[in-house]
Amino acid sequence: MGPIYAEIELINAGDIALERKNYIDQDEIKKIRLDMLVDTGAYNLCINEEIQAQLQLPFIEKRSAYTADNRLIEMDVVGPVIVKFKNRTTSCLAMVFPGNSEPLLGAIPLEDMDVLIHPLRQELIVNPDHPYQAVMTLK
Amino acid sequence: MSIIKTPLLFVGSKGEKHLYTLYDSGANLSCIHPDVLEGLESPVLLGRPRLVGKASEGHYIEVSQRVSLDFYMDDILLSDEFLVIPGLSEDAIIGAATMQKWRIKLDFEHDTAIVDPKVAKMQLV
Repeated sequence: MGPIYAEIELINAGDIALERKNYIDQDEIKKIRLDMLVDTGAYNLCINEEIQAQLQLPFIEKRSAYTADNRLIEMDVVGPVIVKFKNRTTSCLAMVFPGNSEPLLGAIPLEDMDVLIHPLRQELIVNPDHPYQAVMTLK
Repeated sequence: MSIIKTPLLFVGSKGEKHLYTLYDSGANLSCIHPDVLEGLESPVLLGRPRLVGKASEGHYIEVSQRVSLDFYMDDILLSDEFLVIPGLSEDAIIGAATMQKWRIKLDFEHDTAIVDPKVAKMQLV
């Protein structure tokens, strides 16, 4: 029993737009594949400064967030970033932790990708009710 | 939407309380705020204090107490040990180990947690 990790690919969404307009080549799109802690207690995608240095996501704003011990800390928000897991994709902003802190896959991207934590195996899985594409509720 | 937090009935030797409980797969173990234990259960000291890591690198919380509690999900009795965390941001947190132990399934679409009654059936076979 322990924490749940998933193999996730993060891609600089701005680079994809530039590649589509032929400003950069496909191999210049900044991306990273990493094991992320699946954290249903966190709202957002959280990366660290080392990942941010590789992806070079544009700065959006400063935002304050409460930590587990109720301390308010100020963090950079960057993005947009494309998040890929198996046959699922979403795009979102990311909050940047200092240094080499553990990156977190929070509840908003999890919900948007229509993925679940398998209750016995404790691993991230594509929602078995919707195996081929994510299904959302719009209303 | 997104994070799942529900009121659960917690039962201890001193009484019972409804506590807003976060289902947090990022937490290995379940945790509880010391202030909510009054009138619920007495915590016991750990043999040695533990340092629990936080999301931000190099930041820890020292934990010196734990408590064993029953709680109910959809009228199904579950139980586990909770670390007593001073200043915890929630009343209680159900961590990954408890979710796996009781095979709790998180339903983001309906913002709820589901437990299979068959798993929680008490038996001595």
